[in-house]
Amino acid sequence: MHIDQFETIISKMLGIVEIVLLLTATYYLYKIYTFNRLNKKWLLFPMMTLFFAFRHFLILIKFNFIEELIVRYILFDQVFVPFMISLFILLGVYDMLKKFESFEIIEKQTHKKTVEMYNRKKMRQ
Amino acid sequence: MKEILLYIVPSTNYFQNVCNIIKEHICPGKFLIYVTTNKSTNHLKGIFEGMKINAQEIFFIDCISKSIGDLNKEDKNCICLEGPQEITGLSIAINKAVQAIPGEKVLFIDSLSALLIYNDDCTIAKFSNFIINKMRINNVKTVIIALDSDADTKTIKIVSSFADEVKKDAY
Repeated sequence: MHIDQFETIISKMLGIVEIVLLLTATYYLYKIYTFNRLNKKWLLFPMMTLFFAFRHFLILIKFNFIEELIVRYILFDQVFVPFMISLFILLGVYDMLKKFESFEIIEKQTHKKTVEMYNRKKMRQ
Repeated sequence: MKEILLYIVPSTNYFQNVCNIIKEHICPGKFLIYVTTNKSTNHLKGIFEGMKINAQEIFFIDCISKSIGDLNKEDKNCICLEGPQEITGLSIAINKAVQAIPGEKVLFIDSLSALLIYNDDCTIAKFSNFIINKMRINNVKTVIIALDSDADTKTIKIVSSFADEVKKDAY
């Protein structure tokens, strides 16, 4: 077998495995969202992996088999997809951070207010 | 001693029934932690005054005021959550309030029916199971209110099985 043919087969096989892995990750990320449903922005995570899987799918079906599409594909693959993935990660993680911060605020405020209320009641007695 | 009580309340004269249940459980020396999901704390305080219930003795966990814009940031007896859909925040607030107050206390959840509007059945069943077991471990008397129209729903039936007693009459 020629070395180029071998490389093509290996890259195709790995490409399929990558898509399966990314789709599984998408499913798990969606399941995590359904467990808490804290915020719809958390759906950006499964969207991100789905986007990644779509990108791999395009590579696999040789989106660039027509010469004229190569430029468009490079723009899509090297500019648009990484930009969208970065944006989704940033928005999702930022929202997650805000949510966890709000839990900490709830915890601290509840503790402070209940202790103050208890002390006020003791003073009245 | 029966610690976990589920009250199935008729929808007619709902709040009169709720006030009567509160009066049954509130007494000097006991702390009442009131989770409201359908009326703002400001509104409740007004009603309680009229019903001769001392609202100063009650700590409110308010799941509705923020979403309807009836927020009183100066209120010292109240913690406001984003909304009834924020079940994780509600669990944190209940746990913290129970841990921070020493002595006898009663947790009052008004109501499961309202929580079911904003969350799915499975989430509310899991939340109820978690809270009931937490309160049982901490020896906190827990009163849970549900509407009679929801009595036949899967969630209320599941919660009934967790409770020590289910009361179905008007009060």
